Amino acid sequence: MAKRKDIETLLREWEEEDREAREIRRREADWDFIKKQPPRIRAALELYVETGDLHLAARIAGMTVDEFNELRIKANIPVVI
Amino acid sequence: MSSASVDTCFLINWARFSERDKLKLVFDRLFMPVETFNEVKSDVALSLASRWLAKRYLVLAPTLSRDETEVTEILRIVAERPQIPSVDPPELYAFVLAKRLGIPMLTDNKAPKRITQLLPQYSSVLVFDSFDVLEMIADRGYDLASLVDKFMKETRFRFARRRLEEAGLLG
Repeated sequence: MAKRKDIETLLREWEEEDREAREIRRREADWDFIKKQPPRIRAALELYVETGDLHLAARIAGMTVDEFNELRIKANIPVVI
Repeated sequence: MSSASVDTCFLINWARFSERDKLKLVFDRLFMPVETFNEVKSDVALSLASRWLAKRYLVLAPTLSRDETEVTEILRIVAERPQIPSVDPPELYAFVLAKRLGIPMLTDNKAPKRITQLLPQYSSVLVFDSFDVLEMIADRGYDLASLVDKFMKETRFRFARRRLEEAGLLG
């Protein structure tokens, strides 16, 4: 396991990365498109906007990650890395 | 030039990128576990995978029983650490394959990179995302700003401000 201080530094960096990425996804998403989707798909897209977690969102939508990736492009939600 | 292990996310993203063949400037062969390949469903990604499979640029790799054990162990570790984004077995097979073969893993999922940063037993695994690979291509004589701009437009990607600054792409 990495040293405690290193872990804290990492966690701070990751938190900042995740915050910036979430703001970009929220800002650029096509919310009109998202709101028109059936509840399950809408929930998955909203989860993706909040977390950027493609696997989890695909699971919620009942799709593969490849299929969900097509959907997130239609919803204009960027991948942020 | 080395080979690399590739996961679904990376393949489907690069399938949309018109400069995808520049990957061959950096990696001479891509390996993908069969379990990972089974996740590829879209026409655009399957079309690219078919072309690369035909030329043996992409090679499907079998999964060993010890890979299964390691994937299960990593899933347990990730579940205990909410700071690591969730990761599915198909991506982890690519991660474990990279470790076993001693080659880099290409992925746009944050989890594998964070696993290598957090867990010493995986710190030797090199994990590159699309931005890293674009920088490697640029090192072969291409303009990074143009590559990044085109990649972002064609794949609906955004790169974090910190990374753009570190690469000298922000003023």
